[in-house]
Amino acid sequence: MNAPLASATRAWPAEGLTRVPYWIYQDPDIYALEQERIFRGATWTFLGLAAEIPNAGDWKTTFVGEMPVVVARDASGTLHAFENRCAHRGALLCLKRHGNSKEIACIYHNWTYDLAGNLTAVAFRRGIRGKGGMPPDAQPESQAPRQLRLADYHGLLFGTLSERTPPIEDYLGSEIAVRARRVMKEPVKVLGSYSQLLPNNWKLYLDNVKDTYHASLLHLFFTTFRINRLSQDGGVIVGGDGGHHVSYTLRNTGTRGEEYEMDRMRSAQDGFRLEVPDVLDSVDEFGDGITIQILASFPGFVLHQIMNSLAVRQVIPKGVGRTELVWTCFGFAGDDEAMTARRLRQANLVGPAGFISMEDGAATGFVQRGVAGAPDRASVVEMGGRAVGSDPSRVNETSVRGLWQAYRNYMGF
Amino acid sequence: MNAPSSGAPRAWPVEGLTRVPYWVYQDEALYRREQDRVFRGETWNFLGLEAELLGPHARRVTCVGDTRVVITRDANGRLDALESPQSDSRSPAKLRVARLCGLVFGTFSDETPSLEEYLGAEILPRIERVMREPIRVLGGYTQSLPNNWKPYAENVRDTYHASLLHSFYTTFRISRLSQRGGVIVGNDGASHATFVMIDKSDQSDHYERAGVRAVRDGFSLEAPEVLEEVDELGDGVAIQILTVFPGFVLQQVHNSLAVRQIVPKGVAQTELVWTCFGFASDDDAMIERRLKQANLIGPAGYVSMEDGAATGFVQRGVAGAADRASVVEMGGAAVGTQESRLSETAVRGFWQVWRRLIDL
Repeated sequence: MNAPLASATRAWPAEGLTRVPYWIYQDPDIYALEQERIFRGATWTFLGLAAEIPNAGDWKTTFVGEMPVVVARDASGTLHAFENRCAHRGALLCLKRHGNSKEIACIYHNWTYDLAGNLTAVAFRRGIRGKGGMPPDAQPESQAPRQLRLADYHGLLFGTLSERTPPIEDYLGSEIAVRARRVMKEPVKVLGSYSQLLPNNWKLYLDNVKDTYHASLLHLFFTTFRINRLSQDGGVIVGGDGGHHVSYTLRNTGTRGEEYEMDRMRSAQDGFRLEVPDVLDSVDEFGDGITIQILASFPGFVLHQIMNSLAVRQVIPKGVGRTELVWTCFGFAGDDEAMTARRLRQANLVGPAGFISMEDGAATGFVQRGVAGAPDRASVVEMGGRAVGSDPSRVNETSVRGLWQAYRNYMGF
Repeated sequence: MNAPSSGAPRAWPVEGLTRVPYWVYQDEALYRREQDRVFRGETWNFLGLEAELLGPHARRVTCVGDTRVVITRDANGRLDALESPQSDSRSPAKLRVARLCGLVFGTFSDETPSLEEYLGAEILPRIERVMREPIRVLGGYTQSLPNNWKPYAENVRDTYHASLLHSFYTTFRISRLSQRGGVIVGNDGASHATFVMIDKSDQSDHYERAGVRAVRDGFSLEAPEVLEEVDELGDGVAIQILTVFPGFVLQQVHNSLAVRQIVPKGVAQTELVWTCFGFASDDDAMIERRLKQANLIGPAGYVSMEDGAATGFVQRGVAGAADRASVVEMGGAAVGTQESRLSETAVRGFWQVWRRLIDL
């Protein structure tokens, strides 16, 4: 299914950004090149929330592309990110998702590291009773885990291996940055997390999350309960080099919106109602009437506000046809019990089995299966025209085109 | 996860044998080259124990690298090994077979020197020491390792790791680097043997002072007889691990005797086949002892269980770091016999032979 393809077929279609060739989701050589040019290149990869490691000695493990990474808070409170790989033989240093320790010892030969990733001790480096050990001029530190540049943007942690990556706010662009700050308005409290495995290439999930056109057509729940229809007011903002976007929906400002019923959309189902309607009871906590805001930054970060459900998502490639999606739901440290209960109730909408989100992982898997055997064919990304840019209409694929614009820049296609 | 890392440098680091680049565990094309140059090249590959091929017309199927091989015994007792018939019309290659003290080896190449020469004069007596009389097979295990075959080949030659990784060894003072022992490297790295002497006098506290994780206080054994050994070979060696390049291991851990065969199953998957044995002359008490001590080894052994985990951690740790390299500098940069096991000389020996065969 994922056999390498002849390089002859690897040219971008002449139509440009309105066509995405299917080999892009299937080729192991492309996957390997993405690791180098995107994930280890001049991009910021989301690593997690600062609130996941609130105390001195806290650490978490995650990935930059397929590269395992540790994010840690040292005794002075400073945050660090470094490769989760021992200098000696390359074994993983931290094995669990989260932990707390004064230092980190590799399980294999007990080489130890501080919480910045510096190699601090090599077991029996000077030998025992004068025998064995390393020569005095040996430099095991030369292979110490690479330390990443780390950015703490209002509690969102990003890391990059490249010196060329611009500062995080320049990278996101001011229009996107302000939308991130809108959500990250005060100290955060982690409520819990999910991880789901998607049976598809990582970019298909990015396509999905940037696709403002699909939400009300794919997701029955959105349309049936009139949470999000394209007839409601909203918009899409594309920022940075095109790889970052925000889409938003405003509270009930639209028409009565019979368009879905008139067009006989599958997702507009009659006769359904909620046994527990309070799952949709939301408060306008940001005071701007925005009920849904989805923000995604290249290559694999999503910040969502769906009513009062707040979460970050991390898109982690696990092979050409496999992707892990890690969701971390959060609220604010200042939330009262009613607000925490509300956020937890609304968490039923999102995650791997969420009333809304469950369909996304299915749809992206359907694409991976659908494009098998068709590497030389291409998708059509022409809603809203051919341009990349902000637009008041979400009946639009402008942010998907932005994704591919950024992708092609990094990859040199 | 195991996609070829195109664009990453494919040269050996200038430091030489003290560095091993991580792409060697990850590269598809290299894996195929290894099949030709290493497993089907000028090497002796373990095919099985003669005790598994008793009687005329006995037959056994095994693997040399990813090539399936059939060994048969004819009416005269002669052993033949043939590549398992292929779907293509090519006639199956025949292996040269060499027998040594009940061990059967095969090679696809006419250029491979005799088995004795290949092993080296220092290693031969270390095999004869264990395989000193007719054996009987007690049983076996197969385990799947989630890694390239070479991290396991390194692990078993790595005399530095045993007491640092294996809590059981260190906590119960079965093997510590402060105990007497040594490492012997044969034929420039084609073979090695490491040994630890029975040394009840070592009560040193190097590990405790170094704060080594593997030292655990307050543990004791409910059934301490799992460690009751007899010096059956009469030379005071408590543990001997011996390897023959590329994929053979002969193990004496107290009275637990076994051979292990490393079978690559893909870039990031390896099968490890263990066969435990005793001697035909063992009395019931000795068989019982060997079976009890077999708890130490194998996929879930009190000692060995950590090896498969550690080599899997290496495979996962080096993802995304094809252009970085490991540090193999304990005991210096040389390949050769050393008194101290606080050394990676046998690991460097492995890479010396591997690089010559791969031409890298």
